[in-house]
Amino acid sequence: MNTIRANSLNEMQKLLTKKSTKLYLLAALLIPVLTKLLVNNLFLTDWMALPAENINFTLLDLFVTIFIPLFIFISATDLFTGERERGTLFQVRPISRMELFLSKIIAISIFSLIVLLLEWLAVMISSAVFDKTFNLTNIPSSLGAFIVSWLPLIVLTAFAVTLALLVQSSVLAISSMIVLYLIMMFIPYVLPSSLYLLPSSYLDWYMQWLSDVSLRWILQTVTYLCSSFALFFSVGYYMFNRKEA
Amino acid sequence: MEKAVVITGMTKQYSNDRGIQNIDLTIDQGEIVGILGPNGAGKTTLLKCLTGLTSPDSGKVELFGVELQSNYKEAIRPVGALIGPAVAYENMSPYKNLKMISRLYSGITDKDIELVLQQTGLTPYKDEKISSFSMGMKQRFGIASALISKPRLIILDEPTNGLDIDGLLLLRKTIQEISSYSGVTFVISSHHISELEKLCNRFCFLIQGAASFYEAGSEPLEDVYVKKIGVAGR
Repeated sequence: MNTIRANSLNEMQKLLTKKSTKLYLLAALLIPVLTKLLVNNLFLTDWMALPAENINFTLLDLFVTIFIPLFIFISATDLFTGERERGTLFQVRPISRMELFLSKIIAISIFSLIVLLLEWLAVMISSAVFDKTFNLTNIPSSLGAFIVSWLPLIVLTAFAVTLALLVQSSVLAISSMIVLYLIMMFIPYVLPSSLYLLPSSYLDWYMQWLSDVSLRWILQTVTYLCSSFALFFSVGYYMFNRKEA
Repeated sequence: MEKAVVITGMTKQYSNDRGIQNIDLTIDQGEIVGILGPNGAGKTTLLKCLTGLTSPDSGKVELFGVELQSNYKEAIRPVGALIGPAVAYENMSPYKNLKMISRLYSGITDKDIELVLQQTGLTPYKDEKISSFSMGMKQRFGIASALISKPRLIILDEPTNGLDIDGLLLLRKTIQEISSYSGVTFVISSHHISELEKLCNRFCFLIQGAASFYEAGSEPLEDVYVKKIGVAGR
């Protein structure tokens, strides 16, 4: 356990030194503030006249379906395909392959949670400043929505890691992740019955939590997400363990 | 005397027919063993199998009595290694890189990091990004990363690559000091035969993937090398 914790810290430190990570953390803080500023001061259209809470969830949607998946793809490519290219993936250190693999996934997942929480913080602060309808009682439900959004993002991390291990070059890894992700997003429009089979369809599942929550539906979804994670994790680890330095 | 390394019947064949075949090697604690051989003879393959970076097709490796394949973490804990180019995160300083490594061990203090940086002549550059380093300085960092865990067995693959004269002398001095004061075992592969001759007390010649041994003696190592490679060379 100590090794996993120590190496997760190392992997997070590696990610933090990257400009793209710093940019994401900054974007998580700035985008909500700038959006609120624009909505409240510059535009008076019907769309912008939506209740403040709707704008908050539009922002969350933007992050969980575009910004954070892209961050996950970049990070998975860097920590797996990139490190393999640079020859830093495997080292002579007292850490097992499983611990190494797990700690990299933990590091990416923790950063995606940090981006989510920073965004939530920025949304709440900007709402308090700019929204006349801001209500403190909305804080728990909005925080809950942001936190539950993390679960499908962890599944997406395992998916990205598996892809990162399948290909040999960083460029191919990130482009195949983006293309496959886009395909997964658009397939339900062509084949509506596939909607519930794709992990990407659950990225906005927080909306179900905000309406009348059905315990059965939650259990089904959590089971599906956990199974998807287990599948991607197992395939990813199998490939990771077979790799040689 | 405790056995630092016991390799039994190790074979690793690549698809291009290169590799090592049925290697048996025993190294006592405190020995400095040089691995010699022409390019493609299997030196790096042997060292990679010895450190678990590559899995052998058959055979067994024991490090201080612990089997590597079945108990990797425990077996590799007393080992420091530099195999191939130095493994470093180039957008970080040597200090931060060593700090990250130190998290995987217990009892490595900031003082230990400073000492290793001093031993490898990197103290003046400890806060510079490794991406700005020359090849020789990166190699020095690689040596520092092998020493940081205070290992009982140090495995160095071509450690003199890219080193300037100052770096070469510093490396020799460090190996001699560590070996004499701490009884650390070294396995060093190099093409610099004269350097190995100054450091090692036993040699393992790899020729076409097979090993033969030579105890340091009065005959110049170069002559021994020419005889062995001349007889069984590629």
